[in-house]
Parts: sequence; structure tokens; C-alpha cells
Amino acid sequence: MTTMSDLPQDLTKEIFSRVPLTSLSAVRSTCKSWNSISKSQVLCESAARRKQFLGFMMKDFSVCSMKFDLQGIQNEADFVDPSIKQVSVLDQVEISQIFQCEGLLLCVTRDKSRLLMWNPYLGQTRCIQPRNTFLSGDQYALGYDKNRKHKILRILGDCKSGYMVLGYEIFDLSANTWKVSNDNRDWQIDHYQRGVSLKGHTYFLAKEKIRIGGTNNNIDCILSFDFTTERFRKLLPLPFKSHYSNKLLLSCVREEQLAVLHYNWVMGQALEIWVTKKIDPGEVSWSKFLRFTSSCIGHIIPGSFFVDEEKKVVVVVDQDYNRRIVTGRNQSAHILGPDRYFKSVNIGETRYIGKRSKHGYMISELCRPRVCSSYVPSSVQLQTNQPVKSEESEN
Amino acid sequence: MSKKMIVLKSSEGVSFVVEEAVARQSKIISFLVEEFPDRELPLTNMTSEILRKTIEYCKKHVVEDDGGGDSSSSSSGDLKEWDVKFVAEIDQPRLMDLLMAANYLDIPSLLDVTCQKVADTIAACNDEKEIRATFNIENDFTEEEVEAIRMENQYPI
Repeated sequence: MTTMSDLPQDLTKEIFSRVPLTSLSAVRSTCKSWNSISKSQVLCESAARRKQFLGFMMKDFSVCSMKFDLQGIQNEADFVDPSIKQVSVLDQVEISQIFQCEGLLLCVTRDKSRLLMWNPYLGQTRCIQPRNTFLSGDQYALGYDKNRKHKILRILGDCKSGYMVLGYEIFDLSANTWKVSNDNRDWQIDHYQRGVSLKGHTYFLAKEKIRIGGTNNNIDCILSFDFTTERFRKLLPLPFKSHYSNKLLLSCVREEQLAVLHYNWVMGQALEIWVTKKIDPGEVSWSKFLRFTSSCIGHIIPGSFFVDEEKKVVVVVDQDYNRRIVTGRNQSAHILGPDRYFKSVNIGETRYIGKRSKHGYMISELCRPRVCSSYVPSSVQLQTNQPVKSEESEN
Repeated sequence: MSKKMIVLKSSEGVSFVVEEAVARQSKIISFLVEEFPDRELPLTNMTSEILRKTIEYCKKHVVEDDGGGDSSSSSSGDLKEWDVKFVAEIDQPRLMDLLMAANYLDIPSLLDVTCQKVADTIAACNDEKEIRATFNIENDFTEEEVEAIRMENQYPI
């Protein structure tokens, strides 16, 4: 009689690839061999097999995990509020930015002293020290080259010059070195924008400065960074016209397609989500995923969002504009769907930081919640810490 | 036209006469039939019970090429339902044997349903104790080690 322990390892791996992530702790505590197999074979490889959204978000300067069952959106009685828990592994540090790339998270500490890489699946963390110092105008991204070597991109942005891209540095995780590049162009990445990772490349929403008839025009576009050539690539067009009143946000669908949220408060109360049909660093084509027109959108200041392709809904996460409280603000997850489906769920409050002035608190004295796209575990090892070497190159 | 039959022999020496088209769903048998035509094929590591189950599965899944259409008339939805019922009726130890048989005989669709059934069984367990009991696995951890793993794996949720 065959038992589970008699199965060859490749069959156990095949079975594990079908077990949901929620059973991870139980599987690892079953026996030593399962514990070790579960580290090389990722449970529930496909996020598409899941019935609920599992992901990470940044809330009040801490990293939280988020479980959101969107099955109940059609039937009010079945609706379950999302469960959000602070990640205890990282609870000693305050985090001000998070970036996700295929199961790895890159966190920027609020004091800008270091970067933290985290593989939640393997429970590994790795600290990355700056070459000299990190600055508050910096943007960070994580990606990998064609040899699957992971690298971190640091874009040096200066808040005084409207977050123009002043240059960038690359940290090679296997070589443990920073490399400097001074490739500054007329690009601007707003401070609230975050890059999105797709197949190792990183994409940003950027503005390109173009002089038309003696005046400077900012054209919204997609800027991509290729971690193989370690260079920015050609700017890709968006499916709508640039306008000063555009509010744009970037996200993705299953880390395979880009998704852009477009909200124009002058052109009428409409919020649109576009997703890419085809995307690589040289080419893009778009299709409209959702157009949402309702007076409800007056309540939303979109901060970040994720897309559930199967349920055809978009979940926008941000602070509440209308419901202020004395010590801070409420935060909500708004679910937007076809036929004007709209539902807001409270996800707790964020507290003001800093001192109250005579005009009250500034909105910038709040930590805006930020949600990553759906999480797919990875068994990529984060190499242990070694002393940081510095290697400079002029491009 | 009479259908070509082949003979499969279980570990107990019991012979099963099967249509070739049915047996050919196994890539291994398909290969053996071409290499050794008109020979009885001994499957020494398969009991009669498991071989019977495997043949039952293959009979249901055979797709006839001759346009007769009778035995392949099940729609894919019906077939899926049948598969679910098929694995649901098998107890845990026999499911493992069937999974091993599917792997040995190289029948991808049977391997798929059996692996999925085992994965679903693991997912249905509330904790590691239930998994160990269900699959008859010995606990080689200390209580402290289990606690440490539990602490490490609170996330993702």
C-alpha cells in the first residue's frame, strides 16, 4: 500500500502546486520532508486558481497582508469584509514605500536608512544599505534581467525640480554592488506614483516634457525600465489624451498586463480602467476594462488599486475624503464594477503624524494606504547579507 | 470491424482483456504495444484492484477516431463530473496507489485528477494534526519546532 511518504518527490511537488496558500502553515508543520519540499515547490502556483484576493498593502507605515473575498459582491448577504493583518516579521520598522515583483517585496524604510527585501513565502528578509544616502524624492523598483538576476532600481528624483528623473542607480542582488548611471532626460515621475513590475521589467507613469510652439507641455506616458540592458526604454502612449486634470494610477492584472486608472474631474464624473492587450518595453496596445460613471466617485481620491479580472471589478484603496475624524482619517476600499456597482468597505483609520498647526493637519501628514496587486508566492532565495561594494560607471 | 484487443496482467497474475484504444491512453502501453505487438503486457507493480480502476477510467475517457461517436459521446462537463465522482469513491490508500499507477503508466489526465483530489484533501484539513492522521504521516518535529514554523508562516494569511 502506497502512502504519501512513499511518493516520489516530483509527485509530492505536483500535489503541492495545487494546495491553496492558506494551508501553508499546516503543510510545513506536518513533517520535516514536507517542510523542505514546500520551500522548493511553491504552493498554489497559480493565483488564478484562488477564490479570493491575497495581497500585501502598506497602511500606517506598516506592511499588512490583505485577504479579500470578492465572491460575495453579487449577493450582499454573502459579503465578507476584508481581513487586514500587520506583518509581524516587519513590525519593528516603519515602511514608507512597498514594491512587489513576482512574490518578492521591496520595502523602503521611513527613515530612508535602508531597503528591505522580503520573501514572504520563504520567510526571508535581506537588508540593503545605500551607496551613500537614500533621499525622500527617490523611487524604487525591483526587477530581473534575462538571466533571472534580481536587481533594484533607485531613481533619483528631486522634489525641487518637480520630481524630474535626475539619474539612477542599480543594485545587483547577487553581486551586492551599486552601479551609478547619469542618464537624465526630460522625464518626470510624480512622487505619489509607483512603478509596476511585469515579467522583470518595471513600468512607470511619467510625464514627458515637450516644447510645442514655445511652451512646455507635459505629456502623460508609460516609461519602462529594462533590467537586462539597465536602461530606460522608449516612452509608450496611453489610450487617452493628456490633460492637466488627469488623475492617473498604475497597477497590473496578474503581473501580466498593465492596468491604468484614469480619472478626469473636469471632463465629467467618469473613472476608467484600461488594461493592456499587449505589452513589452517597445510596444503597447490597450482595451477598456471598465468605465464607471456615478456620483459615488466624488467620494474617491484614488490612491492605489487592484483589478480582479474574473469578477470584473476594480478595488480602489485610499483615505476617505468625506469622513474625517479628529485624529486622522478613515480609509476605505471601494469596489467598482459594471452596471454602476459600488460598495465601500472601511479598512480602519490612519493617524496624523507630526504636529497640528493652526490650520489643522496637512494631508501630507498622513500615510496613504497602498495596495499591491495579487500575490503569487516565489521560492527565489534572497542571498545573505554581504558588505556592500560600490562600483561606479558613467553612462 | 472487430476491435483490436490486448492483454494486461496484474501483479497477482490476473489477465485483463482491454481494447487497444482504451489502453493506449497510457503512453507507456502505447509504446509497449508498438514494440511488442501480440504480447501479454505484465504490469508487475499494479494490483488487480488498481488495474481494474485504471481501466475503468480509461474506458470512460477513450475517444474513438472511427466516427462511431458512441463511446465518446460524454460532454466535457459530464466527464468532469464523472471524474469527481470517480476519485471521491476511492479511499485514501487506494487513491495513492492509483496516483502512482497514473504516474507509472503515464496517463496525464488521471494523474491530474488524482493529484487534485489529494491536494483538495490536504486543503480540507484544519491543521497539521489532521493532515498527519489523514495521510498516516509520522510527526518528526518537536512541539517547539512546530510552534516556530507556525510563527514563521503567519503570512500570507
